[in-house]
Amino acid sequence: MSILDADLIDRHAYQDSVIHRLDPRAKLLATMFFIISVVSFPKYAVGELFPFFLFPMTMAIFGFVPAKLLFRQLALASPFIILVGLFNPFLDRTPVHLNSFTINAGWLSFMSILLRGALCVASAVILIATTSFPRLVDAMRFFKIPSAFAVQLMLLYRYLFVLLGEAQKINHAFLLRSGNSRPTIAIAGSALSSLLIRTINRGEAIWNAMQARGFEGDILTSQQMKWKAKDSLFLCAVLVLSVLFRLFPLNQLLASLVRT
Amino acid sequence: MHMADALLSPAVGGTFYVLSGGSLALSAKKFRDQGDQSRVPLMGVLGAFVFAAQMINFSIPGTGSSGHLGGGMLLAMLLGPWAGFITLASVLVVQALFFADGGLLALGCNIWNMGFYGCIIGWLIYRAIAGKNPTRTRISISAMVGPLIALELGAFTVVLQTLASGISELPFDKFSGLMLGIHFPIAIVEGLVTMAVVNFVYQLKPELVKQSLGLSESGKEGTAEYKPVLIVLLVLALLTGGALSWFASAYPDGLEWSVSKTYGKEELPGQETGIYGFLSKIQKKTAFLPDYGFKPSEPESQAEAGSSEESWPAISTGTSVSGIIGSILVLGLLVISGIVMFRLRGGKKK
Amino acid sequence: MNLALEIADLVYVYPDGTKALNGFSCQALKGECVGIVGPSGAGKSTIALCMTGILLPQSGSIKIDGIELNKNNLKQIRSRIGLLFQNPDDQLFMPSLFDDVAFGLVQKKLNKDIIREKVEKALAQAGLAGMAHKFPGHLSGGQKRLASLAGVMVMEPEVLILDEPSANLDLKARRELIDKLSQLTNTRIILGHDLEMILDLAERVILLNNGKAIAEGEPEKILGNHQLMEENNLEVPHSLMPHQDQHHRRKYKNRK
Repeated sequence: MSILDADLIDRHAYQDSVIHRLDPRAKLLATMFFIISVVSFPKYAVGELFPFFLFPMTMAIFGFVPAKLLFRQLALASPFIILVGLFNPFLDRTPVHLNSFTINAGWLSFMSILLRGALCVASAVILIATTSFPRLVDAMRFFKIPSAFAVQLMLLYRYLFVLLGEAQKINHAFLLRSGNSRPTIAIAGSALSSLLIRTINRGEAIWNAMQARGFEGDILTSQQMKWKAKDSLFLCAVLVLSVLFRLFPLNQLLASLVRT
Repeated sequence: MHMADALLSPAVGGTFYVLSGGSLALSAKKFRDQGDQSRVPLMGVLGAFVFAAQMINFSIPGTGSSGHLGGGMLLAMLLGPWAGFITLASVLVVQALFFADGGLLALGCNIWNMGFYGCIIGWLIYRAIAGKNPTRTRISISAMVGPLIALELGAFTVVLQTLASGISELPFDKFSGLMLGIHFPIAIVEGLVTMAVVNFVYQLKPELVKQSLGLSESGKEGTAEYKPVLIVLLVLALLTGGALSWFASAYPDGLEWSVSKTYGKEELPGQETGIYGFLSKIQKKTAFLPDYGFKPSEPESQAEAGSSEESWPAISTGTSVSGIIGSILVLGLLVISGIVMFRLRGGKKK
Repeated sequence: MNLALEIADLVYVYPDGTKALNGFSCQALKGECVGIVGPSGAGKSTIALCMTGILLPQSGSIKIDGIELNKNNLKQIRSRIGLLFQNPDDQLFMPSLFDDVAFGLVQKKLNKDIIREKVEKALAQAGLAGMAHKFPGHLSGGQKRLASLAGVMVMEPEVLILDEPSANLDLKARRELIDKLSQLTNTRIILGHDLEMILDLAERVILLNNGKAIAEGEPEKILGNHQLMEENNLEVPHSLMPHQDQHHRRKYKNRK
């Protein structure tokens, strides 16, 4: 499931759409700014967070990101967040009155945590689903991450699915010979060890291949990022809307319109 | 355990980005300086290996639950502190993006919690135990001790980061008890698996395991070179974490307390720095929208105002009935825009 | 100098003591296609690594295009020799086909436009035009093989060494590869077990065992020598044994 989803996300990143064609730097900046805006809210913000769903929604729709995939990733990220947040209603019993009934303020902060979680995870998934990892690394390079780190990210990505495939084979092999249980630490240790040796050998082979082609010490990719007007437009839109939604809660705005 | 964006505040996230970013830059420089590029592909595939290893879940005897290898100590023992740190940081980036494990803002925290403690401190432990005489026993002991210290430090730092962010209500004592408690068996298992794997590698390729110990010509030189820097970093980390957590636990609105001390008033013109403050000043002046922040929802709650002041900030305006109606309207708008966007988009392009 | 490759009395011992090459010699004329066959462990991959200077032999000499290989002229040697690794995944380590094929050229610090031109040409020749921005992990086995070939060919090497080039390829991809290899004019050294492919392509075959050249000559003569093949843990390829073919089959089918 999560290997399959990771593969799905990766393959989706190479599709074409108006979102895919945006400059990766713009998308990266927009996503980070978005996340910071979301988490900058005080802890009881609930309704104020709703308008922020516009961003992931727009990106997902125009980026053709499969909804089921998105929800599965959200589900994956939830457990820890829910576990920690669930204590809030019991620990924070400040009463909040809503006309006829009272709830603990902790419920508000819990809901806020859930909403933040959804917004932040969604924006990260959508980022990587609409921007291929190598392009994302190019964007990071532009923002001056150390080149050794950029090379590392690139190589890790290249061999990630290769190694995951091998892990799957190990799991399958064990499953078929054991019925349906999980391996013990000893067995897992031994399977991992042999995979590790093979991995180390693979590393050597890659080094040989690099040397055979005259490796001089640096690995550069053909950077082809061209910032266009649409990228400025996109980034401005995200920045401006994030700031507006952050400072002027839309729910209050609409409420006051309704009242008049 | 990975820190999540949902529990984080921008200040804490930003702080740890600085710490991690600095460590990463330092590691990259140290790695480049030692000049051996042959480990570059090994770092790449070992990073991928960490993922593969995390997919192989084994059952923990007696508990019925499953666990998997974290990998920090293993990387440190095979690659040394700098290459190990770079590798683990790259693993965390990929985890955050492809596996929804840890957030993008929390990346700084996670790289610190797992990379700094796991690889750099872990390597120091390895070196301390086995540096002069890398026998099989000493290697095994390092593999057990390293994760114990690293994981507990990491767990504790997660508590500090959560507390300092002020989003979760978990109290310091109970939360740290829980985290430290949970990570103990996890660390034991990690230690056992790391030990098994490193010993295996030691049998077949001993030079790999020993190589990560000797980063310079003479062992002593290396120690002198790295220790002060790392000690300073560690002290800084503990100080920052400690200071933040003290604020958070003694004063739930600790940041506000520090703000009032600095500025001499109860609150800054806005919750965050600079531009937010400026803009919300404008917001107040236009008086179009209610004051965002301290409005209690009903007169009755004034009686509880004393206790509610302890929690920061006071209940948001969104909890009034009109606020809820407004939120529902927002949802409605979202759904409508969604439908409109679907129509606009059309079919899937190739 | 008509000799593209000259290896004389090569001896290589691995750090763990295994003597992989024990006085191996061979030669190849420019443009010639030579097949080196032998059982597993005979030393084939070691020859490939020695020829590119990745492993430095304890004794013996290697001359590529007249230049004698030593640890000081590796850069020069590597610009004249290309190695196609057994596992293309080990060789395609860049995030896009373009970057991978361009790798060697980038290392040589050539001009960007020249690089672009050469890469596109190499990809087209490999039948991979238009796939420059594909992620190598998403390619099929055959495509990966051709991509790694493109990456090596773009360097215009004098000598091309192919280590088990048809391994893990489906029949169509294998045939495509053989077609492509037959069109090349570089000196080609094919190492491997795919005897039919060697029969298709090689003008000369060297039989290697225990680190030494046991026999050398015309492919049909060497590979068709029943006794020689058996002695060296090999088998005469099917296309060279019409009547024996039936004998083997009958033996298996009659076991019921």
